[in-house]
Amino acid sequence: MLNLDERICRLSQVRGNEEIKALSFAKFPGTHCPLFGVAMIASFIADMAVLVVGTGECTYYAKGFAYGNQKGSDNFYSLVIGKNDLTFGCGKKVLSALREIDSENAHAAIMVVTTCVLEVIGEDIGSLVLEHEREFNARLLAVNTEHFKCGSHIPGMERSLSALAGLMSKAKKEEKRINILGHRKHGVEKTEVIAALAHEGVKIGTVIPSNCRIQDIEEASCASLNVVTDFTALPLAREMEKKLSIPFVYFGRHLLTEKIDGEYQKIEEILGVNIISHLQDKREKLTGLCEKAAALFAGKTFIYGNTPMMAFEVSDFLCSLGLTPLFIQVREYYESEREDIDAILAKGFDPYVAQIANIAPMQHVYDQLKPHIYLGHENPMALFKKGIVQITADEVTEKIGYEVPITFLEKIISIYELALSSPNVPVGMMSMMGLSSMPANMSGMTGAMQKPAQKTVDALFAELAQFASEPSLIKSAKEAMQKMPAMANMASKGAKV
Amino acid sequence: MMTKHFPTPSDRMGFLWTLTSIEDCYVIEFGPAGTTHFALEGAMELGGEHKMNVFTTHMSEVDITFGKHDKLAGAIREVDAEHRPKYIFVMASSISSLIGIDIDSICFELQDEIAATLIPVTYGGYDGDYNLGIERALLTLCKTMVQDAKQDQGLYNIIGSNIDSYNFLSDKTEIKGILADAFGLKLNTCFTAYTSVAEIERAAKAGYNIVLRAEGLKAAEWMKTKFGIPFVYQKPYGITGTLAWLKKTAETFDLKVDMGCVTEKTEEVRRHLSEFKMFIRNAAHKNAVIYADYDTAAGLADLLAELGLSCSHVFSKHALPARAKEFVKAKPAESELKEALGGGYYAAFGDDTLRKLCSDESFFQVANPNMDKYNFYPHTPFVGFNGVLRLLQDLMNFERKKLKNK
Repeated sequence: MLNLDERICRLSQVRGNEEIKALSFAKFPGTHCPLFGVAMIASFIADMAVLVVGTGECTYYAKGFAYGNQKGSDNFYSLVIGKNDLTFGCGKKVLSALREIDSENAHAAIMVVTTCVLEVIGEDIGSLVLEHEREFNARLLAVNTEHFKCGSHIPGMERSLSALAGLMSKAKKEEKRINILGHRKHGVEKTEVIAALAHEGVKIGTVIPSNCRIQDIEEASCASLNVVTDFTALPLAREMEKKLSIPFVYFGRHLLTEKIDGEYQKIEEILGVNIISHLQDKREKLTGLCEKAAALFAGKTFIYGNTPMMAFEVSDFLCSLGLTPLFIQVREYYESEREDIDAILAKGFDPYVAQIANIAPMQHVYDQLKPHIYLGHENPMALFKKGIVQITADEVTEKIGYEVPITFLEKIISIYELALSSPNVPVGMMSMMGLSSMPANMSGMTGAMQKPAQKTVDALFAELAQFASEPSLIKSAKEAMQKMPAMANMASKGAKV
Repeated sequence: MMTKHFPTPSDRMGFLWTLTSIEDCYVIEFGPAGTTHFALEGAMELGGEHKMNVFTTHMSEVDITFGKHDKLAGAIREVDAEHRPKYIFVMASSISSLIGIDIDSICFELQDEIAATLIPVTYGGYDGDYNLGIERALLTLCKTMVQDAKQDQGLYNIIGSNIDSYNFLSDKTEIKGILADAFGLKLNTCFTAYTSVAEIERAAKAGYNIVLRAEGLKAAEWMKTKFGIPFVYQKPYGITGTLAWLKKTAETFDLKVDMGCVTEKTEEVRRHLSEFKMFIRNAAHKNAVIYADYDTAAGLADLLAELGLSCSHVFSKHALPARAKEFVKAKPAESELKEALGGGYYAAFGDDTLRKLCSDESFFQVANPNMDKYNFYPHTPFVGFNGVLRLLQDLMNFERKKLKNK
């Protein structure tokens, strides 16, 4: 029996990062590192080379991720550091590699990324870059990614975005021109905010990082407003405000109508446009969905794992719909979430709080707390066997504005309703595949998922034939696996208890 | 050396890749969590199935500054109590190795209170290429797990079928088939693709060891000394290579070859081989470029020679083993690979780096990383008789495609 009160804290005890403890010393799979965060951002910028300086594994795996993220057209270079470099330093080697990349004349900028070992030996690549940048045709940037000073990949995302401010210099502002900062999905023009702004004649300048080249980043200084769509871009926005006097609006993935209203109002004031009045239908839809969710989820309990949104904001939103939080897993403590933490406590809830990405001991937690719902990525079959409805919300990543809570509510409602109507279906799997309902010709598969040994050959053949005739499902399954590779294939390993 | 494509994996990566396909294998890494998380996802890109149970302790600035290892001790105690494994590999990371955390002593101190046997692995990934890690892992498994047993002369072990090797699954199937048909032998333990701790423990039951890669030689020599198990080392490519391997196996193990199946297969290959040679008689280039792990590269060169092709460049992706064939060159720079392809070639056989450097039509995947194709069907070998047939079929389809496009 895992004594949770001995190992971790309740929400009311959380004052800072010190109180966010791990459930165990042995963690599986563990968090990603800042190098991963850099790869998530920097691989998008087509004409920027990224030179990763580190051990064989850091460079190899970062390359693999960037390759997959950009379908083989990434610009990641590797400089592997050996024993001699650790003893005598590797500055000359880094400069030589930079010159080689620069000589290709294919990149407008080069980002040098240092990893844990270089920070341990104190190799100052930042100063090296400053000292020599004038010798290069490409602009040079430096980002450090040591994982031993932080608990996740987030600092890597923040630093790689912030570093881009170094490419910008003051320029004449264009009225009604905005930049989008932090959006990591293609197709930003389809989002509610951008569509509404375009309707009002606002010009979308630079979208960092998902749709930009170095010249676009340099021209970002012409904008009169930055719209920040992910909190990892806030340091960049602050830097641009300080350096270039460009104000910003943080349009995070908020769920509460009042918060979204507030963000839209700020944009309306700064740009002198009228947006909210055009979005009344969405506000009404959101109200309707909140009512439906409140009726469906009243009295239900949940464990928060992860979503593309902020842990405490999502948890508070679910509390407002009548759910009870039992356990919240978070990457780190962020002071900006204090308001949401206090809101949960004010509602009379005091859930357990622990570090994320440690699913092996969580198996005991499920047995002890017996939640109705698990929100986030996990092993779908393990949760299904324990009678827990697993819901993921990856779809929200590409949304901004009212469409964030609308998409989130539609997803959790549809998956939960599916779980109620089809208790033999592991809905977590559907959820991760991005499906909100059971495809017609999948119904036969659920039996096979449960009891494969009990089927006759003919029945299995018929089911597999149906499965094979659903290409969209196979595509969805592949995409779901790509989204969360560490969990789907491996959760069952570490989760063995 | 800077690389635009994938760099050479390190010895630490090779060690982990060798363990990753072992059921009931437990590993605790003492290092930043991202190292473990990246490694887990990276291992999956090899196309093999991840079976081991791996945990990380994570490591903070305080741990590094003060050399603290209480997290590691805590993790060892937890895994031991929770999972009751027979063995726990306690692995250093690049950081814990760099700051001199003494994994050996930590394991020694803790061993008395831990039920599992603790196996310290002190490598930080600075010693060499991934093949060195594979060699060390195979030897460590033998030294720490294999137990004395009564030998059964109907059983053999495979040493060196590991998931880092692109075609490990199909090649293993072919080896099993040939040894069953030719000698009536059964596989006892496979080091290490899709095996278990229990299977490794009983490896000494086998009468013979079949070594498929140079990295397995030290493990085989150790088992010969310790248990008296003889071994044959060769990855059998081509008809000649496969027959030589059978002959060597029969002689070393004092076995008799059942020539029935051998003759039949040889005839089948000969029939298609003549047709292929007709196809390529007027080819502008008859040379191939190979870039793969040493045993694959060297063996494939022999096979291609049998098919009437020459190998202008045979490159090993890692440092060469002792007594490597002279025509194999180790670790070419990317510029050297480009140069090798620049002079014209018939076909290129390699990994994803080579694929990116040459045209897709003339490229054949024989090594990892493989970011392009699935490879889970276990009956498409490169080794043995069926390996020749498979390659002939691929190359003849390649020829047919060229004719269509003319």
